Amino acid sequence: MSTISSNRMRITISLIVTIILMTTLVAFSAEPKQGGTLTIRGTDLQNIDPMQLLGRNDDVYIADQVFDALTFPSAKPGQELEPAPLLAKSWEKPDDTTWVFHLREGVTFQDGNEVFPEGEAREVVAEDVVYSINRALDMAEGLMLDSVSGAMAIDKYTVEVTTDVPQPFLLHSHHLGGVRIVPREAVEKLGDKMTTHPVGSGPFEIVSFTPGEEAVLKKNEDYWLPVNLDEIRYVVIPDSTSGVLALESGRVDLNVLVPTDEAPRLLEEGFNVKTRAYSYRGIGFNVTQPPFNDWRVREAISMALDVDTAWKAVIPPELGERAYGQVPPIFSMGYDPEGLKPLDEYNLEEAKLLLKEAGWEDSDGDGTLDKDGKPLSFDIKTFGGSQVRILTILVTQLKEIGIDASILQQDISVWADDLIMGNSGVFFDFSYAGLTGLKSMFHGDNIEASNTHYLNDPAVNYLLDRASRTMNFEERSSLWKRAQRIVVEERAIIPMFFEGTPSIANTRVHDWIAPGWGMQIVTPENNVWVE
Amino acid sequence: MTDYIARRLLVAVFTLFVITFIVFLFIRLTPGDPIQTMLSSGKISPDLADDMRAYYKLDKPIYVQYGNYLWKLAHGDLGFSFTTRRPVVDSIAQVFPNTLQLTVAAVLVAFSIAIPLGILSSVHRNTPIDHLCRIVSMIGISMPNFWLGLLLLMWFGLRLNLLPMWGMGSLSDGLWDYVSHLILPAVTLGTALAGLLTRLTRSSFLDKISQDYVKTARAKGLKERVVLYKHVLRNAIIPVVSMGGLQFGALLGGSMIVETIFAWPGMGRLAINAIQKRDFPVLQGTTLVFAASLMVTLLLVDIINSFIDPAIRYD
Repeated sequence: MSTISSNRMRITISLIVTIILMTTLVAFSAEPKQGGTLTIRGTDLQNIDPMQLLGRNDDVYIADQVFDALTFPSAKPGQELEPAPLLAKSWEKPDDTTWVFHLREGVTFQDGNEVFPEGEAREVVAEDVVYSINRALDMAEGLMLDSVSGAMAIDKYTVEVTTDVPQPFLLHSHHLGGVRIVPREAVEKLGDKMTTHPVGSGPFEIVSFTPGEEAVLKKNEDYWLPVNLDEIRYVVIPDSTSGVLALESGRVDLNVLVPTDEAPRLLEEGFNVKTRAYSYRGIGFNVTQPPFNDWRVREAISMALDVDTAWKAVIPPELGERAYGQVPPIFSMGYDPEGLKPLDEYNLEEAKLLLKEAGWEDSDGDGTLDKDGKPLSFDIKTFGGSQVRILTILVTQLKEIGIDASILQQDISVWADDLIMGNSGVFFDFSYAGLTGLKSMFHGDNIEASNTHYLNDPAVNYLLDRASRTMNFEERSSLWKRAQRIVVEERAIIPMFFEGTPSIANTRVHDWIAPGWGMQIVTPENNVWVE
Repeated sequence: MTDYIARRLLVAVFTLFVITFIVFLFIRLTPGDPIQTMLSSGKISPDLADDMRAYYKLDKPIYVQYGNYLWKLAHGDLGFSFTTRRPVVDSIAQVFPNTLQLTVAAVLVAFSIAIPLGILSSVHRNTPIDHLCRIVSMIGISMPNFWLGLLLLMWFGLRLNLLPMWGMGSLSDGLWDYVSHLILPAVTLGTALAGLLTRLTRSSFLDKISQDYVKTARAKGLKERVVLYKHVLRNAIIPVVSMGGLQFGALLGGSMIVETIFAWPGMGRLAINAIQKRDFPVLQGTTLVFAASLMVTLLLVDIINSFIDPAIRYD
């Protein structure tokens, strides 16, 4: 008995010692280190003028290091992508159309360049913000600033921005939050060099920028936040397999765009996988095209699909989440799985009944439903990606109830053109459209543009319009959820899953955040360091 | 010869004009443009899409667009990229020399493998050496370069850690930096050509080696080495050089996969990006440059052949 107690005691002591040692080691290794180079693999670099970044993520990631904006998209749990203070330390809204920003004092532009010689940089002031907003209003592509009616400097550190109508999304990345602050002198003096060697007030300065090849950035010693890294090398490796090999070789620390299929293997090899840019994937209908203009057909197809089985077979659990609506979990506004889940029902018998009610029966006994001599046969149009395998499973399920569905894989531009022109009855549906994606995709005003479902439901239009002008978050979120519910009830969409594009880093990289609406290396919330 | 070159240049200009028309028309007839893609995913608003179409004159009738394009082209202006906002001329000027370097290196790799192997194979006809050379050349021809590229990258970059895995080296960082970056992409690009040229060298050698003038040379008591290199090689090499030249032009426009795998900043990658993003101005510019390069190469091959064999005349 005493031997057993003694053994237990020894085991307990050993465990305690091990835990203490491990805790010490973890605490020691978690101590941020100064210096070092972070090598990031991207797919292209072309032009980092902050007004010309539309559609090029890699350039946005570099611009995020060179420039500061008034706000940045938070990565804090529960506040993901909500605007957090950056150059603006605070702001207030005296009324629904006026925003007053109070700038951080003592922030300077980068020096040691053509514009500001070493030691001669000047402070970022309200006039710079006004100048940058006006420049954005004149020429920015991809920023939604239509509602901004003016910007003026109240004093050295205070800026007032007015909007024509209440604009609750003003501070988000696609709006004013995407306006990066530039000094007028840089624009005037650098001219075309703004595209490759711009000057801002961000945590890193451009050392070299070779389009299509590489960007080298060094630490801005005068940045208002401490910066751990000495240098960032952003290398262009367009081929995804080569990019993964470069990561595995240790020559690249962080790969910001890894194919979903590769992620589980790299995770097993000990790499860290993170994702932030969840975006919606589903099946969409053009609700004006026969036979999908009949709600019963859309509802029956929805009921005949076992989406859970299909998406789980393809997407690793770390990289996806089941979708019941269009709004992804990273947006607190409108994300409503509890409310929408009951609308998702897998019921083959009910599906068959609905199709029969709509006039679709197998009259000739060939196994395919038909109506007026025409079989229920269609292509689901898509472009390449993990969704093709999921759709393959789903079309097999549809054959079980006599629907002859197949997949038509297209070039992405052709796919987009077909959708916009209304040539696709049913299609793979996806959206990177950000916070206001629901409006882009389902508002009647966007038909023949981003509303490829051709849905023109007055209730949806009304709710989305009202939400877009509602400053109160709770009320706006409620309106958004109601609009989304109607869209799902209408079966304009069959939500499948939210997919995150994985970013993968080796274990020497710490305190990093997966890119998503920008890349945050140094912010008030994180400061990347390398061992 | 001068008249011949002048005639060829005139034909080249006319051919390029026809190519601009075909490329312009086919690109415009293909559904989709970059603005449609951004519009469908909600990245831009319908108003901005209209503004962008007006800015890039995509809202004009196709013949007006073509007229504008030709007018600018005549002034050396290939327009601005839809996606990068950079002048197309600048983008091409930046990457064309890189593709040229890679292609020259690949052709050098191909010749330096093909000629010795081809000669060895023909001299040892129907022996195990010949069989081995033929197997090697068949493997070279048959192996897809995307697979070979990734294999080389995995072994020499990842596992053995001997060579750089991406990008171009710079002479300012030393000769080894420049050469080491060039090795893997040049070998990948040159392997298929090496296989082809090995077979061609072999058959050309076999053809010449049985000619009367070779027998005469041997009868005169010349050493076999002299017979082979002075009498046979000089004649046998002409079709090999012609084929190498033709393939050089094709490689200039066909290095897309290799440039993508090895992140080589060249014309192929520029063209691939333009195709994927429906960047019409860049696509037109790269196609034009590819076509012009091929024509210049063919002309150069003719001129080189006339120097190798003074009997060849183009007048």
